Amino acid sequence: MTPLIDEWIYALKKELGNHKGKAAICFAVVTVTMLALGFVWPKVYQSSAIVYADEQNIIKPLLAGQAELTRLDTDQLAVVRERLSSPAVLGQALLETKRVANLDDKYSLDPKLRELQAAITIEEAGKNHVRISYKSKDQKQAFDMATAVVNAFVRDSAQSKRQESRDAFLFIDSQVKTYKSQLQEAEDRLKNFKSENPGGSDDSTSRRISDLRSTLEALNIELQTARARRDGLAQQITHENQSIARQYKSDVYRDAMAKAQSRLDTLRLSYQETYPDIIALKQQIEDMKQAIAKSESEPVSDTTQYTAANPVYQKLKTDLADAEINMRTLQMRVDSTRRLIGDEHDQSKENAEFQAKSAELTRDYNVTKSIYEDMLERREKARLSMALDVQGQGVTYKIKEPPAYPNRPIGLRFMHFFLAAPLLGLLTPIALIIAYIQLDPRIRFTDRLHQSLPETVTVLTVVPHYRTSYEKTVARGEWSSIVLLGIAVLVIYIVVGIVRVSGVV
Amino acid sequence: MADDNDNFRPLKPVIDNTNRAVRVISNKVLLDDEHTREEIRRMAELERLSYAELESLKVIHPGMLQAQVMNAFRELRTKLYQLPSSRENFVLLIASVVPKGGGSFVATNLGAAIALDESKTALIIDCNIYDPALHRLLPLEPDFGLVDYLENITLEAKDIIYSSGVRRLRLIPAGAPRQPGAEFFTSSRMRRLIEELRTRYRDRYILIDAPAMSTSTDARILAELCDYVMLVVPHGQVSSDHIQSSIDAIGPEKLAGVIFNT
Repeated sequence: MTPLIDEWIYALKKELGNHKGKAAICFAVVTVTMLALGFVWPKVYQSSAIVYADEQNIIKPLLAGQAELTRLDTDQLAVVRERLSSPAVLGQALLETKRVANLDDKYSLDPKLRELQAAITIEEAGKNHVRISYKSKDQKQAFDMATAVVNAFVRDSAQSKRQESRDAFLFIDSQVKTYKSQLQEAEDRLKNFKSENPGGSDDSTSRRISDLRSTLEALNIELQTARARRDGLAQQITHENQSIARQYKSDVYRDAMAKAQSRLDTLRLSYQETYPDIIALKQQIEDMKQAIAKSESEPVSDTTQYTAANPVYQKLKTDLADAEINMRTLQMRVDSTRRLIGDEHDQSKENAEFQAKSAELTRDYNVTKSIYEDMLERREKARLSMALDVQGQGVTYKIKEPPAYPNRPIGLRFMHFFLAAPLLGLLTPIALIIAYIQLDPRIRFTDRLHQSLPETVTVLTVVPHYRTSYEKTVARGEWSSIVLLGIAVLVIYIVVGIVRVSGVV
Repeated sequence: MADDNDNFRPLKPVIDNTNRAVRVISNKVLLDDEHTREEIRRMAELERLSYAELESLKVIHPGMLQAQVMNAFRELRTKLYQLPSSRENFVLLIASVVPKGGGSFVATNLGAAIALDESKTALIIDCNIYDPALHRLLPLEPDFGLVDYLENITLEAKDIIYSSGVRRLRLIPAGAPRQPGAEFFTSSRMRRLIEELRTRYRDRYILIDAPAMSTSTDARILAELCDYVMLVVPHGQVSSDHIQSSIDAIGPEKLAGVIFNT
């Protein structure tokens, strides 16, 4: 034992010795009061039922993922408490036990509802089990009311569950209808758009553009070639005379002279110079020479002069004209090809817009469609759940243990008071003395003394109480008489208790 | 001197014939300790009280069963020996904070504890003149007491020193009860008495049993004449304010410490 405990025991003993009379009176008063309280303490009977929240259902595995069983909330205690505080359930119970005639008179109903609610206790009794108890001073009433309350609760929960799943089905059904109309709208929009804008694909347009580009390049090359040819011909034609001019007489003479000369040459091969023909021919040539000279000296008249077309020029001219036409043709083709390319570009821009719009409409359609399909599936599940609940399957509250008829009162009974009274009677004066020692500022403990002294002052020693043998004898005598008195009181006390328990009083 | 001892009459004051002069004259090569023992043995002794009588008077004795009481006083005695002192013995005032606080009990037993040692003696002066208690240690009513000595200048110190029922414990009883109000302890005769008692015997420890601090200023006045003051705090009777005011009245330099009397 620590010194502090020793000191406490010593202080307690000392104070108890100082206040012996008061302590004895306190003991007597407390004991008698407690016993009296035990006599008058009201009896309370409680009837309780255990309700089982059936979460695991035989149908559940069969319908896994297909139908949502109306699940019980994880905090069943709160759910049960909530349901049992509803006037509907409690009212039913009151009606059943004939505590009220009908539920219309709210003024008389309300206090009874509150009274009932106060007498009901709800507590957890293991996993998924809830204990519902009803307390009353009357045994029969406790039993009847507990039964009625539990029945009303179970009925109500089944009904509300049905209502709940039905509401869920109706809600999903209405949603399905909404989505259906939305889906149809989206479908119509897409259809209309596609029919209004046939459009080409982006691919074909770009292919055409590239074809046209290559054609254009080829044409450009051709055009350059044609242009070069035309330029060459035009250059050449400037060097060429348009026509050839000639003097007719001299030219005739010259032609004849040439012929005569060639005949002369031929004749000279066979004949002598003196051959007449040769002489004649010579003569002729001479004449002709003179004629030429004469004619050339004469001024040339227009009549005598004629112009002859230059065949080279003619040819070049023809070619040039051809080249010119060819070039123009090519030029036109280049222009038209360019225009076509421009058109195709415009077309491809239109294509992009079209495709964006088309994608948007398609997306709308797809999203709506998927939701709609999902909703359809859900509706089927809800329909199944509703069917389950209607047929009483799914999660239910079952009465696991019906209320029992209470034979013994709960809470404090006479026996408790009987046993506790002497103990309390002993403890009260001790507790009071402890409180007195605690509150009394006078010093009883060494450490308190140390605390109240200045630091320079020391406690030299603690002198224990010197008990003389006379004191010891006196104390022993006092204590033995106290013990004797205590035994006597206890005997009387037990007799009173036995009398009470055996039912004489 | 031994003859004197033999002629000792219980109801007469003890004539103390051991003094320093004798010791010096003897001139023997004796250790101080041996001297003292020798002298003390020669001291006149009264018939000693039996253990049962001592117990009923609440005085410690070597045969007592409650060893912790004995040990407490022995411990106290040892602590007091260790106090710094200019002389070999000391004059210690013992006062309770409140009346019936056990001041006389502590004084008696401290004296008895000192006297347990054969080489030491103790003298208790009962200054509690309005409510004396120590005369109970004497088998018969004493002739004179402290008050008588102070009033009657013809009395000598040796006339009022009585041997108690405890070996080596001397006593000066309070004397005839007086009306309160008279200032005895301020007199120079009182001062001289203390001085004489202190100087005559080197090995004698003088304990003054003073009235409670809360009832009179006597304790404060007597404290002037003493080397140390010891406060007795009774169990469950005083608050810390009480203790504090007593400590303040004595002053820190003379206060040897506090005894917790349970």
